[in-house]
Amino acid sequence: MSLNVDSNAYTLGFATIIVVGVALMLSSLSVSLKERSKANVILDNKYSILKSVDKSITKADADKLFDDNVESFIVNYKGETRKAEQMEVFDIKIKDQLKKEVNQREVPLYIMKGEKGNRYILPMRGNGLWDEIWGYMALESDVNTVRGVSFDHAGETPGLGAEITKDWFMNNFAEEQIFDKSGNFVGINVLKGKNNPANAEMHKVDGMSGATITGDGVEDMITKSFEAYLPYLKKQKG
Amino acid sequence: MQDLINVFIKSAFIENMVLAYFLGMCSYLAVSKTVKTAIGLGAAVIFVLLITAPVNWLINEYLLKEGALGFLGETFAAVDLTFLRFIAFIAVIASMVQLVEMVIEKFSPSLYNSLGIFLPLITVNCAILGTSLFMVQREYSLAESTFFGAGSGVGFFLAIVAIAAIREKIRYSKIPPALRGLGIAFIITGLMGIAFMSLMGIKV
Amino acid sequence: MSEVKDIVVEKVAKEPLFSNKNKALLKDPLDDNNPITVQVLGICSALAVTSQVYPSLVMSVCVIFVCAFSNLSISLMRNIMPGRIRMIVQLIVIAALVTIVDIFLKAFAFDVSKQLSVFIGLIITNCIVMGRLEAFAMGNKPWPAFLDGIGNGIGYGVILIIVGALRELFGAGTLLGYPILNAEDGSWLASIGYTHNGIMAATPAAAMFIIGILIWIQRSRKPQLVDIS
Repeated sequence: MSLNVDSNAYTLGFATIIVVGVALMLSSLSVSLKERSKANVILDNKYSILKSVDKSITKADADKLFDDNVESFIVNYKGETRKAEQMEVFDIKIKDQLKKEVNQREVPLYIMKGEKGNRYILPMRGNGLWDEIWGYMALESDVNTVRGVSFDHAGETPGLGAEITKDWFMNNFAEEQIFDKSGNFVGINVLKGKNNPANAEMHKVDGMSGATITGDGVEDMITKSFEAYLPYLKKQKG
Repeated sequence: MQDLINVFIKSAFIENMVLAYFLGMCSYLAVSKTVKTAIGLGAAVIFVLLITAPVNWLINEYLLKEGALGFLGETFAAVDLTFLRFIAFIAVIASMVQLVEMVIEKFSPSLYNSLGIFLPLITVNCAILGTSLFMVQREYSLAESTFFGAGSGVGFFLAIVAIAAIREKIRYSKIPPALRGLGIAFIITGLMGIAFMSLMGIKV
Repeated sequence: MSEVKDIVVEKVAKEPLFSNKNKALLKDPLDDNNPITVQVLGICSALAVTSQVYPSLVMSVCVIFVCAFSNLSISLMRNIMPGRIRMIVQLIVIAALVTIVDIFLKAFAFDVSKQLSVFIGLIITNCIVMGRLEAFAMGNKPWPAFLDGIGNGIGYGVILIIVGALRELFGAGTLLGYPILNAEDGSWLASIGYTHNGIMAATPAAAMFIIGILIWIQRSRKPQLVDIS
């Protein structure tokens, strides 16, 4: 009963017990669930990469499909590739690479084997209206025609800029071309309105109404992220 | 350098902690009845943010991040202490606030008297913790984090002084009784948020 | 010491778990003593996530959990806690609980945790949690403190979900992702000139208007809540 809760020794002891107790509890919890959350992050990576090729892929299949069919590489500005472990490639931060001079960059590339030849999947990253946007673009074996894209964003406006993650917007990109007829890189132009269907132009997709800045961000992201791949892509095109 | 100014402008105006993310609302609403107290709290927030943003950045970079302990040797390279991030950040903020309080009390009693009562409030100001968390999420560098902290602080200062000035004025306006005080303060904040949105087009 | 304990045990035994008093602890925060509209606490950490119902819902569940268990643990410690380090102990308990929530979300609900990002961490500085610890848990027994935490968490969640529902419905025409209002070209709503409201969806400012109006409605119904300042 004579315990003095305000004495220095007691305060110190109490603080130590709390700190040690909390630290022990959190570290054991974190260690025991770490594998799970790491696996989640990796699976999410694989899933969003595969989504650029085929929207119907489910998250449950992503793991096996990726391991069986996709090989990961690192590409430099000389157009050289180096085969690398999955984890090493996932760990490359596109954002850091984009800060470097274009000829210094070493960027990830995923190649998916299939019946119709290899498909090339390129990651990209840029800025939307509020925050970052990122995604993947898959190219057909001609290294020019877009097979599909998958986008994600950190904080675009739901119903406006966040539409970039919706199928209707992403489906626009399919069968567009990123090089013009004479072989120069043009990227994809996100229009302010709708593409005229009568003479729907290549390299151009419908924009999202009310989200011009996010649309411009997508366009910009593709152009800037692809810079480092151009020597490699041109080499593959032959 | 342009990058840093960009980060500052963005965090102070375009992505204002209060008006775009609604962080720090509690003290924002509680201490905005007169301009004088608002200036005091705003200044204290700038001050604390200028210290906590770089300190938390260093702690995260050299202690908590996966592999951050690598400099201690091979065995520590795989240690990942990210789960301690919340606790470390809030502890840094709480102790920095305490430290700032003591330093100001010692060296400038007059500033302490005008500012003193707001300092403890700052510990639980979401804008402070928010700044640290956003800084980690956006992977800012040390310099960028410092400018981000300064920008967020200035943004908070602007927002709280502006609402306090407006609230002083509208004391004489005819507002429906049920909307007086809190209700109208919310609606004004909303309008201010929309006004700040007009800065969004600025690209530095 | 044992004598005191006996009395406490006896008292608890006499009082049913859901006495009227305890029920009031759960019910009051929903309306008369709502943490957001009346106590004005906890507006910060979560309004930015209310653009849709689903994240609001998850956020509410997280806050209820943190609020209830931090109230419970602080109440258990209230008699043995040294006064000088009271604040920091409270903060550590809250931060630990939030970390637990974060770890669990990352392991079992990855998509949600991605969506809520930093706002999970910001529950730590949610003034409701801290406010209830100071105002209630420090002076009350564990069980009532636990109920008080749940009540305040729910009171907070209700407002969050109302705001989220209104913003999602008028901003994007959906609720929990299911289309409710169809304003596509050629639909009936579009023919009378209705479009989705950009302000509702786009700016968190909309949340401010909605809460302002909720306060207006509540105080018109209950004039005793009006403050003059």
